Amino acid sequence: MKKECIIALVDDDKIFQLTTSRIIKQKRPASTLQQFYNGDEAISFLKENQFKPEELPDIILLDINMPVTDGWMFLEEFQKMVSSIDKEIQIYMVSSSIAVEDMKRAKENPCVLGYITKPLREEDFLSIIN
Amino acid sequence: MQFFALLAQYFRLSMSKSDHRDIEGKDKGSSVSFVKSKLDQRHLKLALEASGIGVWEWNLENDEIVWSDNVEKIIGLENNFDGTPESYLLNVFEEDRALVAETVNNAIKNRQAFSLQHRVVSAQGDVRWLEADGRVLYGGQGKAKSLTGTVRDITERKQYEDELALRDHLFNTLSQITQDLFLNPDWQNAILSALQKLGGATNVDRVYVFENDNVPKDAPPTTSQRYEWNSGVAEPQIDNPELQNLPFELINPCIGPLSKKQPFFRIVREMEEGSFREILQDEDILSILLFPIFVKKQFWGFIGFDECKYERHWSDIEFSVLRSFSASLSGAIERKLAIKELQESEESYRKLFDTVGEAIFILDDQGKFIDVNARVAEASGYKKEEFIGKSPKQISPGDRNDEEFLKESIALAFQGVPQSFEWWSRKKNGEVFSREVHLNKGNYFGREVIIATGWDITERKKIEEELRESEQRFRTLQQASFGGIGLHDKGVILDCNKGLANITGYTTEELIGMDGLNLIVPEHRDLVRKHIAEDYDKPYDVEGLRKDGSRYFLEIHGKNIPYKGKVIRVTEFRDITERKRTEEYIKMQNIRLTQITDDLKSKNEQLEEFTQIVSHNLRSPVGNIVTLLDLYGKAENDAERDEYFKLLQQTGNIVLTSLNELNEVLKIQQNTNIEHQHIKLNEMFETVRNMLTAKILTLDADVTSDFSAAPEITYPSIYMESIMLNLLSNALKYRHPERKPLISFSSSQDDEHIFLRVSDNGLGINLQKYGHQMFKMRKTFHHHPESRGIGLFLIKNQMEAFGGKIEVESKEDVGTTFILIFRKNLTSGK
Repeated sequence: MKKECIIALVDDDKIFQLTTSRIIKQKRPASTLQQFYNGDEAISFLKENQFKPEELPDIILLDINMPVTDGWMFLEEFQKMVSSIDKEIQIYMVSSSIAVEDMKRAKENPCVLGYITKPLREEDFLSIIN
Repeated sequence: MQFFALLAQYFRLSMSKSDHRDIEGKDKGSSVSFVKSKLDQRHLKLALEASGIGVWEWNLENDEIVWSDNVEKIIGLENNFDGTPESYLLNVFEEDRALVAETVNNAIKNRQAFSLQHRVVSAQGDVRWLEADGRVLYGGQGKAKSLTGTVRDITERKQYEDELALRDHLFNTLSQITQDLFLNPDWQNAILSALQKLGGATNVDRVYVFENDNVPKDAPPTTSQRYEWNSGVAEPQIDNPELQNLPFELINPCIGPLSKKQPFFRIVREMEEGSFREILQDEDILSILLFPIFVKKQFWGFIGFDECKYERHWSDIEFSVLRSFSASLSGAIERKLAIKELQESEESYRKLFDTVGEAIFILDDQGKFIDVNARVAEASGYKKEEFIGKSPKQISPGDRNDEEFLKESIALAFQGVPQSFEWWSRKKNGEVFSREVHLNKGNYFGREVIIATGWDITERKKIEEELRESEQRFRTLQQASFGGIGLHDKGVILDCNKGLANITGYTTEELIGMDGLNLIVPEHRDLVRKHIAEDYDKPYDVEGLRKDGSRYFLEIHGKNIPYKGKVIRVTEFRDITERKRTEEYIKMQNIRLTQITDDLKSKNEQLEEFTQIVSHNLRSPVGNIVTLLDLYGKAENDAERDEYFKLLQQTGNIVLTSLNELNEVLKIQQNTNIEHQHIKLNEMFETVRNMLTAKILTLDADVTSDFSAAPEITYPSIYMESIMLNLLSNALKYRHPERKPLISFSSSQDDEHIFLRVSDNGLGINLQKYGHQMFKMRKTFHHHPESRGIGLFLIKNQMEAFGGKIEVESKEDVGTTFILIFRKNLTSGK
């Protein structure tokens, strides 16, 4: 199995946060979970810790539809600081949107590794972790 | 007979050597008669001496000739004559000797008297012409005893006779030549043969004619040789180029006298030095005689006679004959020129006569055709010759013309009164046609005639008929046309149809003669005037002015056309009010169409939005339910299961809420037939404010309104209530935490719209960041616990359902203004 990894959830849906964290705890009990309820919170955290790689997540599961700062806005901010972050952070979009435009947009963004439509199933999670 | 008897007595008296007996023997007269004869003898002698007649006697018996003193005086033989017939014959001019001998012998033999002209050469060598008369005297037994007779000197008479003969010959020649010159149509040959005859008659070497050249004014005059006859002795000069365009200057000595109508004669040797003499000497001319030729009183040229054999002096007769000839030649040339001119003028007249397009007849005083021109022949099918000598009656149908009238007309025309009338003619093929005929008195080569000109008016009548028809057609067309048609000359209406009267409100009578510009509104007249002047031939629109002063939309279409011999303009008027109205309608339809397209676009957007709403807002809670159910199934204890159950309940409620909200939107979008009410905006505002009174009071918000500019609107009142409520609650919800909320509602309007403005001094919003999502469902821009992202989405749908719009102006930390735009004419939906 892999080493301990840090996984960040960015989603305003509290139920999604709860169910996903349960799945992660079950499948990867050793991993650390960071929960953000909108894009602003996540960006602020990354900015604060950009020079502490050990605090930064290895994987970010990012929702698109969020109030105030949505997934796309988060990605814009993230791209601004990515060069100064000394860690390879893998971002996966996790959204209930099945709109083709959204999938295309995600694919075209170099920081995004994959697009997962909700609900997030165990298999999806395991394939990300591996 | 008596004369010879006297002569014999005279001989007896005067001749020393005469035999008196014989004479006496022959004349056995009485003494009385003797006395008388003695007296006569004396008289005779005197007479003979006075007349210069000599008397001679030749005694045949002793062959001795005796003659009177007069004879010696006449012939002057002196010692060359010894009294014998032989010595006499030796003195006779050689050529005449045979004649003299023969004549005398014949006289003796035949016993006949004789008369003989012959020449004798005197002792001095002069040649004398003698006329000798003689007769034979007989002795017994009828034997010829002697010859006796007279002799006269006829030298002068002979010379004169020669001259006369020459003159006769010359004059004969001259008369022949002259006749030839005048009568021979071959002018060239006539002149050449004249020169030849003249040369032959005068025995010269060259005869020639020079004609002065036609040189421009101020240019030196020249003359050229035209005709030459040559005896063969002299070199022909006709081809000598120096004798063409020979300047007067080179032959100056002769020009002076010639141009003064005087002849010029010179022995070349005696001439003064100069070019003229050189020219003559080059041609071996020894003497020259020139006579001037004057034609029409102008110095035309000269005729010349060259002698190359000897230095010739011309006799008076030759001179006068040649002078006459030159005069004849002048006359002949003059006549020739006149004939030529006449021919030319006749030719040109004939040409004119035949090329003229009208039929021309020449009639004599009897009314018979003398001549007709080519046009007549062409038109009638007869040959020209067939007309000559006929009368008009013979080429006319018998029953159609008044022949008495024609006679009178011809008579009157001959008196110089021009006549004109219509006359029926018949062609060779029998076809009959009508002519308009004009008679005038005229002159035809010096003859008084009637000149008749005729126009075939069948053609003209046909053309007139055609013209009438085409005008009629035009008129029919005009009347049949729905539009108004006017014919005008620089604006002045010459003619128009009923249509123009219908359109303009004038009667056609009023229109004709009126200035067509009065049918146009004053501000468009300059344009119309310009188009008339430029022959603009495309349709264009102006405003028309009716008789009653009303205006209407008018399309004008003008075109210049030839009409009755001048160029006028035909203009069509078309009342296009209806068309303009249709155009307006189409424009409006276009606007509507654009609006509908816009509507459809926004509907499409709504649909897309709806798909998104479904996927975002239903898929996430449903996805959560699926996950929760999965976790519920795997739960290890009741507490855990209970937790999941509660979460499932919560999620279920969220789904239900979302569905309700969507339903609400669908209702708005579908139910466009919802009833509209007449809403007083201030009343509606009060209702909404009352619903939120508690909150307003709590927040100490200042909520004001002003609907004076647009107090009413027709709209579904539940929508209006929802809109106002949402906006007011939003304004209160997103108030600025550091200041008292100021919220104001106001309305305004223009022709098509009513505007509702709702302003606050709240948080404001970053439009650059969020503008595009402002009115989307489930979009919230503040971390406000009550933000649901549904209010503005609903308002937008409620506005768009009836063609309205919602716009926003905002600045963070300053405030927000929402502007709602209602369309007056579309507030009832589509």
